[in-house]
Amino acid sequence: MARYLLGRLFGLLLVFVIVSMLAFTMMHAVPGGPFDEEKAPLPPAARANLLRKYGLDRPLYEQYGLYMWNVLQGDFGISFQSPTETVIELIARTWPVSMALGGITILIALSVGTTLGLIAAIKQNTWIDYTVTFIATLGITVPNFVVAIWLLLLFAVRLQWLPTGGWGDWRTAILPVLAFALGPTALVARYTRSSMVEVIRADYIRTARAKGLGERVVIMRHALKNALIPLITILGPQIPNLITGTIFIEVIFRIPGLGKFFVTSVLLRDYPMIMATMLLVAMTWGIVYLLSDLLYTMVDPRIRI
Amino acid sequence: MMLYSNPLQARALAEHGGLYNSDPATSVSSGPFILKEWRKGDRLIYEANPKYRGTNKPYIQKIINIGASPATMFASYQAGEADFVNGAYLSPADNEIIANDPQLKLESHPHQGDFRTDYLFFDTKNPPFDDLKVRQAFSHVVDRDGLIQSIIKPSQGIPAYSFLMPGFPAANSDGLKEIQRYDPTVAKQLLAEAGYPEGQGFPKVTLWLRNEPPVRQAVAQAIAASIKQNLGIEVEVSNKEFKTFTDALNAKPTQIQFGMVSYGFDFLDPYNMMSVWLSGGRHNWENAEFDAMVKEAAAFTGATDERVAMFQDAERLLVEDVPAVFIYHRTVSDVYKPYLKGTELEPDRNGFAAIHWPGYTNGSMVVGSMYISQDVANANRTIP
Repeated sequence: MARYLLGRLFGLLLVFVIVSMLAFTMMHAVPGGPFDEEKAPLPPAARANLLRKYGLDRPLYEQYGLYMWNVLQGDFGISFQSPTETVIELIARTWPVSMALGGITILIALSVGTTLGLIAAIKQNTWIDYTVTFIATLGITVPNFVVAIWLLLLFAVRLQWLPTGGWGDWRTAILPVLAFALGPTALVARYTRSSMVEVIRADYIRTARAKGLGERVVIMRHALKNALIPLITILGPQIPNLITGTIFIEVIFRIPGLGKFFVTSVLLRDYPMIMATMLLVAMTWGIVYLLSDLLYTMVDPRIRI
Repeated sequence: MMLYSNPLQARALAEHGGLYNSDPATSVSSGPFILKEWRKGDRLIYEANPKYRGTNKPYIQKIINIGASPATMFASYQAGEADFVNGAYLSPADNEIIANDPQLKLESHPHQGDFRTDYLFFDTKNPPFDDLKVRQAFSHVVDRDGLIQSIIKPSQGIPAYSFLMPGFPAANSDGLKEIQRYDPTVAKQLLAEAGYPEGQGFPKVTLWLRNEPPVRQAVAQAIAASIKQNLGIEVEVSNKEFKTFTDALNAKPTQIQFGMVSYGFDFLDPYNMMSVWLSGGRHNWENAEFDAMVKEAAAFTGATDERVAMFQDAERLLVEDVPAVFIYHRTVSDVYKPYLKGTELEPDRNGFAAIHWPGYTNGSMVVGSMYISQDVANANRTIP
């Protein structure tokens, strides 16, 4: 086990290096740079000064080497789009916000999603099943920014029960969480339902019933646990996306999170921030995959590491 | 030029570096407001500067500047969380809601923004537009009032018959109004005199647009339809990508025979707008008399009235020689809650009742005489 873990962690390190190389060459290969102005071009001398200041006038391999050397010392540079703080400070300020939003969303997706899926599976082909399936289909197909605008217009503008945006007290969190959680919740509900429907017909469930076990025990202990395996596969890859934020929800609800920087960094050619966000995502993906592999062994004893 | 510059304080610059104004602890202000707090990614909070000794005393104790996406600013305003939204950030859908709501309509305050004028222009060096009568004919078939009412909407523009917008120095809108007036009868007659009766023998032309949004595409289509209907000339409207358009416009010789474009001011002097039409500029119309008049006026250091008159003579020449058919001046309609009061929000002599040029710069926190009246007690207002 320890050896396996060590191997996986070493693999993660390798992924880290490869991702950093790929991201670094790709972002420099994209036309345009951080100091290209569309309307009023900078005088060549001023531009050259800026490039020198940020080390962008040197050969690419040298820039990469320097970047990695600084990263090893914990220095990720200063974001071009927010020059009053370091990249580390920026992430420390924005990521917890995105993580809180994503964390609540995951909890809701898991609890509400599995419950709905479970009920739909048990009451298969009844109106309950159809309602859950309908809502779940809606949740998967309607993008969260559309849902966000609906919620905003209804609860903030028309009814004025909740604020239109911001981040601070709990009232500001309700609408973004609802909009953000609908998709993953629907996904979980759909998968729980189909996987439960399959498991309920399995031989060992019939055996469990034949032994005279109560319905609750049959469902919760025997059926649900086995039905969870596909869920780990589905929800696992959602987690990195959910906890690193989303530009749509954050911009619509004025949430000072990390999500928008994934997009703005690329648009603005904010090299230090592109690198930091890429590495951050690589790290979260690596860890989440490792964790879900470990989780499999707990849920399904047949899987061995 | 000082209006456009933000001077820095030498001592603060030396002690805390170029970004000293981003931190309330090191920020220095000589203006009516001072930075109190900056919650990054969320809001800027300014408070009245207790040490301010100038004449522009603030009547507002605290200004909270919320960073929001333009898509949801109006929602915050409707929900009573914002007292003011800059019209530049309102979408056509927002403006539609405002136009159809009697209360919101009262809260909408149009002003001249950056004095932007949209106009049609011609390649005046080559046929058929080298003929003044042809250009004049085109200038008489643009029904500005109709366009404003049906497409542009009254809150978003006013008719233009000349280049300088009312409120801009040396503007002479009333004096020049007749030259390019809407008059299809005169237009038909002029086109016949130019040798194209009912448009016979006139080539089909393409009207180039510079990456315009739907509203101005519709304006161009309406003008094309009016040209077809009144002059019998086929006009195809083609909305070009920004760079394609600009490169073709600036090419020497120009590659655009017939186009629609706009210009807004860079600095508050007639020379700025008029210089667009100097020879060798972005349009290929050349008029030595106009050049001489504009340059002389620009360098003139005598009485202001006299200088204004010189620019007005030059603009008359411009309008009369029709290198351009002026369509409309864009207005920006800010929304202010009714409890905001002050002389800025009362109509000036051009009828604009909003914070606007001169005296306003982007990013300046100068709210002049504006104050929050007692009516605020009845407003359903929440500070987010």
